[in-house]
Amino acid sequence: MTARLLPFVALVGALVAAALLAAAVGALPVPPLQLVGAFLERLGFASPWPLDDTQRTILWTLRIPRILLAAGVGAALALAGATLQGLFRNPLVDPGLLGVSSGAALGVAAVLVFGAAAFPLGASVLLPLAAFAGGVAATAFVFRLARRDGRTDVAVLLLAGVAVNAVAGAALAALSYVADDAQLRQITFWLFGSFGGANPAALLGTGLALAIAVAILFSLAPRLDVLLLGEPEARQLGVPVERTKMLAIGASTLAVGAAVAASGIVGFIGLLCPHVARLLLGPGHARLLPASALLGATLAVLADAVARTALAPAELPVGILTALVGAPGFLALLLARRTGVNA
Amino acid sequence: MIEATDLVVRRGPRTVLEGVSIAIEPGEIVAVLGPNGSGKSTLVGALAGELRPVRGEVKVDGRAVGAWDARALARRRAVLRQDSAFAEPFRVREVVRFGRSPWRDTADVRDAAVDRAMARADVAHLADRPFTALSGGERQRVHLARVLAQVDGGADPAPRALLLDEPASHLDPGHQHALLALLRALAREGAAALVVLHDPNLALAYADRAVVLDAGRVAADDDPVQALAPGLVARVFGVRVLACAGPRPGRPALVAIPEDEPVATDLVAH
Repeated sequence: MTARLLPFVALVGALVAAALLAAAVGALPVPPLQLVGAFLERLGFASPWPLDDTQRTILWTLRIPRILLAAGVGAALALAGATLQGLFRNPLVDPGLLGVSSGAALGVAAVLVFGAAAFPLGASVLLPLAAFAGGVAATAFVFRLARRDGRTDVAVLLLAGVAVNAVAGAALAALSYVADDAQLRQITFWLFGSFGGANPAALLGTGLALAIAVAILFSLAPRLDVLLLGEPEARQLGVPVERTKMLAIGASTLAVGAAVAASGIVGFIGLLCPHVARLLLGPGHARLLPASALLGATLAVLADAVARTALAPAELPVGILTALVGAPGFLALLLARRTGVNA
Repeated sequence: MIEATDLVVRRGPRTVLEGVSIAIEPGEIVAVLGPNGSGKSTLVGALAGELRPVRGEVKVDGRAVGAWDARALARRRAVLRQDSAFAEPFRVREVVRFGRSPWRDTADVRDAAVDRAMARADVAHLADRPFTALSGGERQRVHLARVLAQVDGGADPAPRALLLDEPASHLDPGHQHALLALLRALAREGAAALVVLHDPNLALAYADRAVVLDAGRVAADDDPVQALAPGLVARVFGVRVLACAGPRPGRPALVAIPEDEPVATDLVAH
């Protein structure tokens, strides 16, 4: 039992370490002891390691919300990636496959180009709403396309996803073409992804969506395992296959939709983390899903810490960084695995 | 226990089964044979409830297959499909354990059923190996163990049914015979088994009944010796065979005559 829990202890440890590191670094460093002091203060204890007011403000209003958002978004993306890769029995599946990300991007671009000014709500509320709505709508459309006679054909789902992504990409390009310079810049920055918008609403939305997705997907874990046998086999084993697929896709879409709404498009975490988790812990979803989520959270927190500090005082968009690090990491993993199989 | 009447099944524009009726009762092994494309897998799919017939009906224990609760049905009847594409690095024991998913049993009961099934399918020694490291025949036996675990009802006396689509296709001769002997043991315990086979001699040696399909119709449904008479085999399969003395009294063995071998007509006569 302890041997089976050990990887999770290590993963939680890595996440905590990444979070502490991310809280410590930045334009105004907060040394480790002061970090401890900050938490002691919060809990109402007298602290031997006092912080000054600036440190306290930066820590509680900027860094910690940002770390929480990065962790939530990373966990959501990796969790959805692991679920969808299993559901499609395809390791190349990315959480954006079913159109969530491109739909969200289109929603954001449409609002930016057709006048955020026309709406009474501020852009900080309107853009996430547009992103979430666009993402969920695109996935719902893909799902609808693949549904026939009460069954969803996974192969059609995959192809419909590719097609809808392509159309959304074209529409996004068209919107970018007609956009003025300021709008174009906003669209581009949104597409790069950032955890800078860590306000309470974003945290609440992401946290809530992630909690619901975790509750649904973890409870589906045994069925997702059986589904790997193939859909007819799973049906013959009494698994409600269509309901399981719908719940799994719905929960993944909710998680990714909320993540994208809060932070824009952060690539590769949803593709890479499930792979690493599968290599470490095998294909069983009961272990794969939590491990992927923990890895995703850790990677996102670390990536954001680097994005904030590497080019200080400028900030590198975190989406660029995850792609820059994630793509070679993915390749290395693929090559290592291939030689491993051949050996 | 499983009864199909007048099944007509289409796949796309093609009518694959044209009015097939078949029944399998507890305690018997029914072998299904037929040339490629004659509708064997389609028949298994229709009996399993996986393919909907455009005409006719499949009943399990007198109740339409679609009217069953999926899990209750899964505990009574298991299906082994031909050529599964499953290739995940689960351990063999875990794959067999999937067979227990329609049950809500305690870990002890579950593990006992899994161990029994692995022993019967001769994969107990592979229990901790990753499934992906196995050969084709070993994988087939693991899937067999999975369906055995699925219908292991413990002390529950309700009869079980197995629908096996070419379970012997990747097996060596020793394991082919072990498989059929296992089915006989299960039949003696009260199970009903429908098994798609290519080797008529396996059917002749082990089956209680043989159904020969030809172009979506039942060409014969009889005692294996009658159903697989050389004349019918020649007509349906397009291969001349000699009926020789077989290992079981009253059960001949068939030997194919090479196409280019001229044969005295009295030899092929039945």
